[in-house]
Amino acid sequence: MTESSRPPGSSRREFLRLAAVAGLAGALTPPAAFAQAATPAPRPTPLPATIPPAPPAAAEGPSEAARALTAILQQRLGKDRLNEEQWEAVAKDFDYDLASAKRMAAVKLVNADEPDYSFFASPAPPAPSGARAKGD
Amino acid sequence: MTDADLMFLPLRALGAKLRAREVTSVALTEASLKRLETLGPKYNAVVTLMKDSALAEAKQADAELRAGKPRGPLHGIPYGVKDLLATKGVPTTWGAEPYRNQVFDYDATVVTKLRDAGAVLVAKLAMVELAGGMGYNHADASFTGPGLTPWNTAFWSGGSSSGPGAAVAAGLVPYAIGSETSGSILTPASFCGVTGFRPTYGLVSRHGAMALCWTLDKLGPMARGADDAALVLAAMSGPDPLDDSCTGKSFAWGGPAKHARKWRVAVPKGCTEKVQPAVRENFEAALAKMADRLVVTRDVEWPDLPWGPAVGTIVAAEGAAAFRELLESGEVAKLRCPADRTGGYSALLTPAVDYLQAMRLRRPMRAAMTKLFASYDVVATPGRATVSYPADRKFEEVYPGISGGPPVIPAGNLTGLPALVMPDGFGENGLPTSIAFMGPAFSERQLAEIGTLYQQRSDWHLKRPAGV
Repeated sequence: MTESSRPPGSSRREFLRLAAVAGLAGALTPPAAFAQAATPAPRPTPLPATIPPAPPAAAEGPSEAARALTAILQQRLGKDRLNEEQWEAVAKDFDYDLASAKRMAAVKLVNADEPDYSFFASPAPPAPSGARAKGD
Repeated sequence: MTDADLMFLPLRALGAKLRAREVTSVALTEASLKRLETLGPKYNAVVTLMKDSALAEAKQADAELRAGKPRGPLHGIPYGVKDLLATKGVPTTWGAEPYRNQVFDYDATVVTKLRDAGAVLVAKLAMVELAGGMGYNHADASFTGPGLTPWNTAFWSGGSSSGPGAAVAAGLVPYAIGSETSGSILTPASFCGVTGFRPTYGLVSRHGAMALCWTLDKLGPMARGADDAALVLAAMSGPDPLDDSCTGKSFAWGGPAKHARKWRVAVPKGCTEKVQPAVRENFEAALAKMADRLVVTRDVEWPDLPWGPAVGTIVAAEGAAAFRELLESGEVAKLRCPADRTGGYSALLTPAVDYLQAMRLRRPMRAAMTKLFASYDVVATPGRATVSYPADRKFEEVYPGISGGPPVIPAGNLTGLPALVMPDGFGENGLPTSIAFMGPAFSERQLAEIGTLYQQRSDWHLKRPAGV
């Protein structure tokens, strides 16, 4: 979890629900499932004027794009991996991801803007000093 | 002095007693172990007691202290670690059923550094499963059960460092080590009324720590007061050839410098308007306590960047990579919280371009924070917008309409900045509230000085929950 505008468990699903209610006009910062690592519940982020609208289907259910992505996952993992309700939750997560990607893409970067990490061609550091023995 | 009184003493006072032989490390360790064993279950705070190794370390500490060979301020003092730090030969569960029997054959660098400082590791402490990486939405998200705050056990101790928060608050250990990807030290410290110190990314080695997100994960102390936390951070920090992210910088702390400088404080616009009333009142009272040493600027505009989506995308992509086997095998279904059983799946399809876009955004984000800190020494906000959440309800069901304003926690984590959170009073249901300060990279000394100043003028960090 991150910010505190929303209750701490705010998941992508919750983000989408709020996005639908607020039309993404308010302060919504979605911690992705993984992003909640820590403490769920991000505070709201002011949205740039260029922010695209929320996925149209967010209010009623997952968008077509989210359902398509869910289908890819079902093909990859097997549809029987989860029940219908769980797949629906996954589809809503995809809608969060799509909205999140649009928000990031709305920030203009130039061609030369590099990712904020560096690769070094220097010798690698020593490997961890021991192997993990997974139980059972 | 009772065992409880000892456990609530500041580290410098405990160290003085040890060096004066008013108490032994073995006695302190036994007291801590007993409290962990008897009180720990009340808060679901403990995973594994390290009884044998702890007593051996304590005996060694006593022998060294008797021989006049003190190792430093932590020598002989017991502590606990969040159960995501590897400890040789002892289970390291990551709070998750699928890893319940996982054993490493090496110690995390932080554990080694603290052992070298003479500290005595007494327990592996509870945590939200996989540090919350799968999207939990309920306190009951660990195989050890929901972490409960000692101030009111109907409420959550916060996550994901839930055990360290509760164990320090209840005086089960004098201090503990937590971890933060985006809020996991600051939130449990807030909800448990203890002091949490998130270091600059790269100041503390993560070697041997569970990886959730390589470019965001950090380890830091949770303690009674800022001086205690700074002493522990000093012992944890420094170079480590086993962690590429380590900058080689160290943090030294002997105590606050004797000067009377004033700090320039930015209070972001919107950070108090929609918080709970007690949170706002306590925050203002805390600033007022230090009014003669602060130059406070209100309504500072927060950089308008997609902090939340960026942190979400980065943790999704890196977390899915770190736990790809767990997700693809279906073992994720064994997690405790239902939301955790599905929350990671969509991250498996995070487009590389989205992850890279988020990583590219971190440069303008760092530039924005650098610009902010050119005008201010620190940012001050309430630690959390609310007191803790009921342990038996989904997070999204409580505290409607409450907002903490701008995304300071994601911003601080995305840009790797240090933050200190301290208790500043109490709110609803007798639960603690907090104030947080965030500074530029490697400004830990400044944060520790502000923290010690505040705690010299207040006593919230000395309060004890009932029944401990």
